[in-house]
Amino acid sequence: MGKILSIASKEIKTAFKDKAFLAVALLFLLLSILSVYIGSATKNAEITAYQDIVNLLKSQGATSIPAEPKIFPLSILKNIINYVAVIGSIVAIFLGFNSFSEEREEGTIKLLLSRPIYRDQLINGKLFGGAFVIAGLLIITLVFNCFLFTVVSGMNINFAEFSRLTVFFVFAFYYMISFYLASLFVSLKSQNSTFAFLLMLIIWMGVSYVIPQLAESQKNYVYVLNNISQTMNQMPQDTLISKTIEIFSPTVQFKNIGRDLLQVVPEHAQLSLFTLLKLNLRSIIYLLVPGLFMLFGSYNSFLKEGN
Amino acid sequence: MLVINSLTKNYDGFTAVDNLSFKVGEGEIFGFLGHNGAGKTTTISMLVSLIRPSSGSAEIAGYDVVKDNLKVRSMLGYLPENVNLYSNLTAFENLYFFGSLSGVENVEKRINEVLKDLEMNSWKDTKVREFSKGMRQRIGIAQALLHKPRILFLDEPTSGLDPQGTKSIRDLLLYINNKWNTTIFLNTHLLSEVKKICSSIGIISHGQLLMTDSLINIKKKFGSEKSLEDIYFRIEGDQNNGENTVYSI
Amino acid sequence: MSEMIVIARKEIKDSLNNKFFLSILILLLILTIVSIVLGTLQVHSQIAQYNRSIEFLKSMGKTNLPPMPSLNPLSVSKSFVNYVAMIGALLAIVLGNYAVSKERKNGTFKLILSRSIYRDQLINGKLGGNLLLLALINFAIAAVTIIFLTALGGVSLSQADLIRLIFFFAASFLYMALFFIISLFVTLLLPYKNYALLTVIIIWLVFAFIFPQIGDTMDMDNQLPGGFFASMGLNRAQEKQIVNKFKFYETLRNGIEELSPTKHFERISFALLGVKPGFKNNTAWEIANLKWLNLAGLLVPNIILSMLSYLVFLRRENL
Ligand SMILES: Nc1ncnc2c1ncn2[C@@H]1O[C@H](COP(=O)(O)OP(=O)(O)OP(=O)(O)O)[C@@H](O)[C@H]1O
Ligand SMILES: [Mg+2]
Repeated sequence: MGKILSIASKEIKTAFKDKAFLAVALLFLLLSILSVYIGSATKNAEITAYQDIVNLLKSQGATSIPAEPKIFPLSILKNIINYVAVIGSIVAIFLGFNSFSEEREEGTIKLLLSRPIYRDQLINGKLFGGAFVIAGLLIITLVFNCFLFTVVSGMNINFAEFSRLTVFFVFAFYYMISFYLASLFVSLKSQNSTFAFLLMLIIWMGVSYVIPQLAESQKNYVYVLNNISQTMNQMPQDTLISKTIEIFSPTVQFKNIGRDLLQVVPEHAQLSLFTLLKLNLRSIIYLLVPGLFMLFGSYNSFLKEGN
Repeated sequence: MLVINSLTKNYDGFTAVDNLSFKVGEGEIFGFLGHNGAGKTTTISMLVSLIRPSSGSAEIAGYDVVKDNLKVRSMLGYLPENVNLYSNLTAFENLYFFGSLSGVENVEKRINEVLKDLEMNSWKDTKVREFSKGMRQRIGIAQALLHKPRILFLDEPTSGLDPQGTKSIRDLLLYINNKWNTTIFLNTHLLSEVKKICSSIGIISHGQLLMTDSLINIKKKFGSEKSLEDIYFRIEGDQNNGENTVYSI
Repeated sequence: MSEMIVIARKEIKDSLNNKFFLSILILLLILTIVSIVLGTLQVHSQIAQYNRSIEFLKSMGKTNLPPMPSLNPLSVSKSFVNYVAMIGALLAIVLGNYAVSKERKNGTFKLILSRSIYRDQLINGKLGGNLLLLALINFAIAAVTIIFLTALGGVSLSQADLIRLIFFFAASFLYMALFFIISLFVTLLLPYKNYALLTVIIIWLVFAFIFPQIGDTMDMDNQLPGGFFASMGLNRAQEKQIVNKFKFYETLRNGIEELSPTKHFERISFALLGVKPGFKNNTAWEIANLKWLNLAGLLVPNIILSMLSYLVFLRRENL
């Protein structure tokens, strides 16, 4: 255990001395904090806009007035889902892409492996180090957000909402760790850290952008009749193809779970946490699988490499 | 101290190290000589259990390098060729990390001892990135010494150093060998280096051992030749004359 | 001059030997095809859907019917523009980085500069070769697009459509060139390890994701699925009236979006390809005129950064 901790603490130390990593980590923190602010500001603007709309409609002599938009407190934080999905994964990649390939390039892997440690201790150490850094970032974000939230929006969250938020951060952690594991795996397999980085970038693009877009393009845009204004709007609806495509993207799964947890979907905003998780079971499984796969792959290939 | 028995390494079809057998006694400084690509690094990698031999075996202080590899690794110090260390960390941070992995107790105190021995104390808190090649090599040796190994494996420790740097590493090795009776296994392609510090040498060419002997005997046999080149030519000449190829003590 | 051509030719050859570059290029071509195919499917289902709802509305006696959806697969799938923007930028970043880092890694800058060649010939060659390569890539994607659009999508492209497509690929060339120059410039500035690449990726992230994302989340209309104003049952004129009251807010949002070349590229492209409604009756030239600000947003940074790259390259002693 002591040796695993030594490796973990070295990983943490190097992460915080790495300017590129610091830059993305800082970007991530700033954005997730900014997102609370923007979210609240937009909500406020929307409420003012609602008043204006009501006035406008009344002055035009309309009889039916649209209901006031219902605002669930956590939905103000919803932008954070996107930031974790896109930038959080990049942070994890920056953290992990050269963890083994750099050791190879600098020759330090030989110094490590000629010491009395087991190979799985080495992976465990790196994993712990990365997990610690990621958890740290997320905890800072959580604390800051809760604080800012009460200050800026003036709303309070109850226990149920707080537990939703906490569970959301647990999923965010797992999502980021999956990318970290994938980078460890790629870095284990490649001699060159630039190559490892670019490869991870392509994977990231595919998973967090290309696949969701493909799925999006296969959604059905149904025309919905608005019963107040009698105008037609298009609303996206899942289809079998779009659902199937989405299976391959942990990002989509994470976003689905996140949207539910952060009360973005009004119909699910009041459900109990347990019901909500049960409802999202499929997404949760699809989210869990790739990370476990990567973990297993890393162990397997690194332990085998010794022969 | 070190017993090697028919050690062989194949890289799909290509034999990098071919049926190597020899011994190195306790407290010796053994110079392992060979040209680029001769198989020196491959041999050392097997001995420090970084890679597995295709066949044959080796023992360090009675422990097999494959079967008892954890035990073996706790007894040896190793300096690979062209190692850079963690350039973002200071000398101390590097040493602390490697020391902890070697299971050194009271690492901090031990680091200070070693740094003092290597006259690197004042550089303790400097980032390795800012070091000259010679200084980096010293820290490299320091990390190999932390756990008081019984045998040191050094892969071309003076490559890329200027004459002064080379001399200071040489002096350091003699000092270590003297003070703690540490056995040293030294890869090199410079006969001059071997002549100055080694007590015995082995010559490897195309993965095969051409000869091993004590330095005194070698000097007797090859007194007239000045370079490794000449000795190669002489041995190859002997081979062509049908003489037995392996010289031994 | 001939030295410049020798260097430009070597640049192109090197890149075509770079496996990573080739894989991204192939990926880009495949995704182009995929998004055309999916766009075609989408067009079919949308038309069916549209016809059904029209029937339904007519049966209810409604008269203000929604407009017919576009028949062009490109205008249906936003993803086409997004793929070109995203993967094209990555491609360009790799090219720009590679142009400098390969010489550094092999120590060949010194070898080249010790020949009787001026530094500006070297950088002209590098710029020329790589820009030509980017132009060729855009040409290739254009060819693939046109072929698949007519073969699969069953779309017969009018001359006006063709000109719009050509304009789109010209804009996409400018966009890629911009990221090439950014990457080249940063790599010249940051010689240590792969920091240059990481830095450029961060810059790209800010331009291509963060600014548009901030703009997006500040968009009131985006806050509810299906659109805030639509859910309030407002029509366009009423929406305008409300939005006008939030001038400052909207200006800020627009300002943030305008910092991003990606957004500029997107705005031109959406107008040209008809993803955004309202430009149906304009010619490509008219659209270019209407979107001159976005065009400048792509062109001006290109010019400035090229000049800066020259400066750095000509002045720096240790490249
Ligand atoms: N992983 C590998 N796969 C295939 N061949 C290898 C591998 N490692 C080494 N070799 C080959 O084995 C031979 C011996 O290499 P080795 O590195 O042991 O030589 P060396 O004596 O240390 O040379 P140098 O003085 O250049 O360090 C070389 O021909 C090399 O190409
Ligand atoms: Mg070697």
